[in-house]
Amino acid sequence: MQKYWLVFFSSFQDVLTYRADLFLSTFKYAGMVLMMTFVWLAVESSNPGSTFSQSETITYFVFSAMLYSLSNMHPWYIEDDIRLGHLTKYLVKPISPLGYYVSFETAKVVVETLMKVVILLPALILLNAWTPPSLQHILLATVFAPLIFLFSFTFLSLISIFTFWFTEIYSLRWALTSTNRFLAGTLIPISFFPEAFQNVSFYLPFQHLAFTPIRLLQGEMTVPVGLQSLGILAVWLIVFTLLRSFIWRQGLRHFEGTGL
Amino acid sequence: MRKITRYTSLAWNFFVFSTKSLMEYRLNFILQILHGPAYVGMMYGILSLAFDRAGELGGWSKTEGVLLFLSFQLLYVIGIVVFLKGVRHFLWEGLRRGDLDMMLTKPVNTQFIVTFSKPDVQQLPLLAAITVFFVRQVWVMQELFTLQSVLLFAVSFTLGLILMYLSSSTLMTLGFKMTRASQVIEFFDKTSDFAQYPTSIFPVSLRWFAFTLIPIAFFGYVPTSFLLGKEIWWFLPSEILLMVILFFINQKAWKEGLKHYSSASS
Repeated sequence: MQKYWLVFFSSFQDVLTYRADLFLSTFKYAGMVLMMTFVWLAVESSNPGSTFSQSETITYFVFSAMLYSLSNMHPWYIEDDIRLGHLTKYLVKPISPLGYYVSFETAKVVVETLMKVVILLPALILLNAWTPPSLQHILLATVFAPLIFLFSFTFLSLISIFTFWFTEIYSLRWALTSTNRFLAGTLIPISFFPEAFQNVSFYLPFQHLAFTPIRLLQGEMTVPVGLQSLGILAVWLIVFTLLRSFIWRQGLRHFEGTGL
Repeated sequence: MRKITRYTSLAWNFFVFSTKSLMEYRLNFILQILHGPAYVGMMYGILSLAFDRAGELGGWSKTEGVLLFLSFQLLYVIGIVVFLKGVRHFLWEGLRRGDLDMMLTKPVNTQFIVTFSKPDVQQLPLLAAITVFFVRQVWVMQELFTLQSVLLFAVSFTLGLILMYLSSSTLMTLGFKMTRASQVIEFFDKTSDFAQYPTSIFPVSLRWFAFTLIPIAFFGYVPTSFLLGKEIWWFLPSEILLMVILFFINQKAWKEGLKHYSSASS
């Protein structure tokens, strides 16, 4: 386990080396999500049957911006390692490549999320835009954080692993990232979608990556429904982890140390 | 004239070369064309839902909003196909890996070779699809347009494209000052997404940015306003003025950047 901690700390130091880059990469997406606030504020002010108040819209997108780093990652390095044959360096050492990758990505996600929480959360409180819900709601929303990260990483690394068969897979990964962003409710609250879509969406993993924890933090979702959502996300995580392990093993059979 | 012919021929050769290298792996090519449509589809989904809920946004109806969306996407995808991939490559790896050294040794304008040497051929199917949708939307709304509005749209659209080129290639020069500047272009990219909404929905302070520092209003809102006769008298003069100012800033930034560059990657 210690070796994975070392990878985590080394990645942590790497992230902090290029501070301007870190700041821009963190706030480009946060900025994009926050700009959506203006779009939906304009929409809801023109909509007579509006279900979202002004402060609710603002807090929704601020939380969305905060949580976004947990599900937004680009494991291109897995694709490079497979394509260029660099994977060999892990295969000949007593370290799991997937364990290495997840430790490496965790550092970046932790730094980016903390940066946003430290800046945006006090702003919300100072502007009096958010009334904290019960402690149970906050704790449950916090439990979602590692699951969101693990699910997103498993899902995206699963796509990257297909590099064993297709030399370039980034376009498919990007296409799925965009779809994920849409279905998670990062840019549109799921409650704005038609009811039939909402019913199906509840049993898929995506809305639990953003919409569900945000509604918990807003106190707009009950704890039992939150727990049910957490269970659904955990089941999907297990399914995707098993699927990834299977595909990884199949891919390794296909792999030659000289690269593909 | 000879210079123009030479540079046009060079740009065409870059295009042919990129197409050939892409077609080398045909299955990859098919997979690579997925991202653009998925992203545009997602953005359209958001816009459509927004108009369905509001009816009207910033004084624009849904049909007008769709025209604005398609007009921006058309301009943006042209930018991606022609020069934005070059800008992105330069900031992500070209500068750090020392590709610029090779470019500096060629008897061609460095800025030209950096921005036009990597056309994004894989987005051509997306460009074709958006063009078809745009022409269809214009056809549906044709009764609203006059010859004058179409001409003004064409002028404003071209100026918008030039402004996109100038602003992205000016931002690109930050790469000379920062060790890792890849996120600069990503920031520009993400901000540009908001050009597909009527600029009038944003607060006044943000609108000011959209017309000056990050001129996204000229990428969709202004050209479409001309087409729909919604323009304000200062749109065209400010577009021209901004283009002149940005041109000088761009040239200065490139000169300074190249002076700062120490070769063998920075």
